[in-house]
Amino acid sequence: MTATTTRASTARSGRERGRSRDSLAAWLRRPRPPLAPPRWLAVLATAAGAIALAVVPLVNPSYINLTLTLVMIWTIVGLGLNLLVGFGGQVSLGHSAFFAIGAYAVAVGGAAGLPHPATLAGAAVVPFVVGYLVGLPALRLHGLQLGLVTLAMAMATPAAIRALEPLTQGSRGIAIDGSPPAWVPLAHDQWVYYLALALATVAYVVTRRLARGRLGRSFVAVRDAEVVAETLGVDVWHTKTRLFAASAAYAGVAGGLYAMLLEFIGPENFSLTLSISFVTLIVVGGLATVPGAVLGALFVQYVPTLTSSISPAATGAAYGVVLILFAFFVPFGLVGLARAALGRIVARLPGARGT
Amino acid sequence: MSLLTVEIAAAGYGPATVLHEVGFEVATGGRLVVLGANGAGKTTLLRTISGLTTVDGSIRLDGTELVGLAPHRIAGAGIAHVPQGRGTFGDLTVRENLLVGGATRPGRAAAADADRWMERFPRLGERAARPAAGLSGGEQQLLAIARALMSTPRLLLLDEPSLGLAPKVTSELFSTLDELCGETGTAMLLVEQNAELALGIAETALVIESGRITVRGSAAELRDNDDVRRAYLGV
Amino acid sequence: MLLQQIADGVATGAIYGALALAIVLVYRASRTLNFAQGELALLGAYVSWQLVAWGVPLWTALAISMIALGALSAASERVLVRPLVRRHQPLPLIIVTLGLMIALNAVIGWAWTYQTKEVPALFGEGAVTVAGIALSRQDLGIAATVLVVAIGLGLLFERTRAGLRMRAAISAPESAELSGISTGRTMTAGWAIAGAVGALAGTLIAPELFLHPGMMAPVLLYAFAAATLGGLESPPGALVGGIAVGVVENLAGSYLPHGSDFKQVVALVIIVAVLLVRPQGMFGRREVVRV
Repeated sequence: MTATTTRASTARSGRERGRSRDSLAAWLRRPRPPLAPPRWLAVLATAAGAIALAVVPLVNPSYINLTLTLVMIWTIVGLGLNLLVGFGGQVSLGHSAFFAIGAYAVAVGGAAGLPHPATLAGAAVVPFVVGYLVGLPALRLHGLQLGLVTLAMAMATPAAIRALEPLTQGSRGIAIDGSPPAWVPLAHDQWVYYLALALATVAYVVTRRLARGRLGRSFVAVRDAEVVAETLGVDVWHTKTRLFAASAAYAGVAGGLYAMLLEFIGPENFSLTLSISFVTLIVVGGLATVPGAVLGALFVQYVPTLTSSISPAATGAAYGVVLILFAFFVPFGLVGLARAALGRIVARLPGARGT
Repeated sequence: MSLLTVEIAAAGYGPATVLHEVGFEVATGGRLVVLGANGAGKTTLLRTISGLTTVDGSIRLDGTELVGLAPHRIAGAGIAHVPQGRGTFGDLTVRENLLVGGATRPGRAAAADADRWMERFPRLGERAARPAAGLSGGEQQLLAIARALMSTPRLLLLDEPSLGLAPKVTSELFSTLDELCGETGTAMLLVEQNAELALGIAETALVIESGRITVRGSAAELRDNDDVRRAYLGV
Repeated sequence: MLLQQIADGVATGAIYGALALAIVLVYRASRTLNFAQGELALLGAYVSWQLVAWGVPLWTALAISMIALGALSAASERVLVRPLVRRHQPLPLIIVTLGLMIALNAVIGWAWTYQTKEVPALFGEGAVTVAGIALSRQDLGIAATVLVVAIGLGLLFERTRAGLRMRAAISAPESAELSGISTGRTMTAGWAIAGAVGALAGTLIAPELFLHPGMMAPVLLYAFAAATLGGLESPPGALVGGIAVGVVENLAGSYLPHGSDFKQVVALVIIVAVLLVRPQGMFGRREVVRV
């Protein structure tokens, strides 16, 4: 057996050059653990955030409350969609459909004289049931096919709303009374803000528990190795279907809040663009991360406001370019970037909880 | 002058290294058989020569460095590879399978050669216009070898041609193989479980265990080697 | 009346079939769906329109547009898709083609505004009456053009060496590579042809729908339904599927209440039903799911 020749060592150094060239991309792609701030910092930040969020609507003009409420609505959608796509590995490009179902549940329920707690519950239950029924057959499909079906769902949603005119009032649109009950001394925008804040908080906490708990682990198991998970006793199909339905319910609740906030909705509110912004949200925020939903929601709420002042085309261009860049270079989204940038700093703070 | 010179420091799939320090040569027109148990790294060795693994080292065909070339370039350089499981294009017809084998050659020459092969093996000729998936195992192996020779290679890599064939079919196949390579002067690197038959048509041989060469010598020497006899000849 | 409806559906169906063909060619090359296929076709329609507006003869404009879009489609395969195909990750692939779809749409809107443009009929006005059915010159021309392209592609795949290479690369990529065929090159070729066929579909349908940036979204939905109906892998299946969808769409539009809205729902139902009941489509063979 001869030793490696000169040619061989050339080949080897060529390989090493290749490695150092893509090292930035590799660094960006590396998965990282969540930030583990010291307890005092976590408590302090949570308290400060809670106080700020509670006080903000009382001192702001209503249009700022409106945009903040929208951020919370997008956050709820993002939490649910990320549960499905990020943790579950199931693609859905059609969550605008469930968002629409939730919105119309509130609108139609309100028109029938039901009070808002009931219509909002309906906005969770109806999409859950529809999501379950859609999921039962659809989740037999694998990645690409599911993407196709859900994309078709998103594309057909406005047409379906128009076609169901007796229920939805079609393209005339439907009005919703989103004002608070008589005993609540709040303006409309403040009332919906607090509702959204409460529901977004619940959604956040529940999602975090799901993502970290036994159920979350079985989701990830299904995502990473379906066959293996099956042999370990995870009921794959049932897990997927429940996940899909739960994620639809998140979108439905968000849609219900959206209807209450806007007080008037029509088919054009639920176009394919909406679904695409949901996908952008979780990709930008960070797939399979819980805080990613918040960062993504901020992105989809405020970036279009910035870009639309440039040109009506700029929003689409920005979303498109961002989707492509993130898919290639930043698979863990803004949360991943934050972890990369802040991880060491946070670990050095006094009282840090190790890794 | 050796046709193929292999000097592999390490080779494998991504982080998993399968082959360590493997070096040997195949002479022009020579026949080398590689023996070894399942999982020893025989298939990886052939895949490494064809450019399907990550490799650290040097593999030269007639002095041309192959490491770093794409698999289709290595094929174009004169190496034909019959993969394990034969790699038949199931939904293409038998004739099309042969023509694909001649993809690197001028169209007319390839077409003429395809017809020649189908005359030579009437079993293929009769099924020229049928999908190759319908052939029997032995016929598919024959087709795979003919397809490989369609490119008029200087070196033929064969990965377990006897796999899944009845003993009688296997021995027929080996005598055909012996005949064909004799006629065309094509060198052969054969990976085989059936040591008896393989050593019968080879000149030199080596044994791979856990990704390293443990025994090497002429085919006759290996047949007389007690360890090899016990392990691979079942004597 | 019914026959007339069917005849009208065939021509638009041929266009859906052409776009479905583009989807199928990409699927065969890379095992992925290009969600930007519709916007590439739309860009093709705009390029044709722009060239004609500058005074280029129509058929020359169409040829240039097909070549340009073929090149763009090939480039997007090379730059955006292949690295992800090699990584074997379906989700980033979906995200990237989705990103391409909205980015292209935005570029089109920015370059040509969101205003609707009227496009003159490609094959002249008027109709020919055969057995009581009025066939417009436009419809006849569209059907004939798609047919010619389909036959041309059939000959390319079945009768040429380049076509054989492409079929070999699809049938068994590794064996093809070991036979000296660059599967990377055949993949790019598949995308290039798809881009060109898409540009043709976009240019053909523009006079029917009026040219505007939202034009292709519903067409893409019908094309996906057509491709699914044909089994996603079969070029003839895509064409027949397209005609079937065109006819069904036309009948639904005429006979269902809220027909023009129900049409899109019908496409969704076709996609779901085919994938669940007969995922290999009308023509495909059942494929074993690889783990």
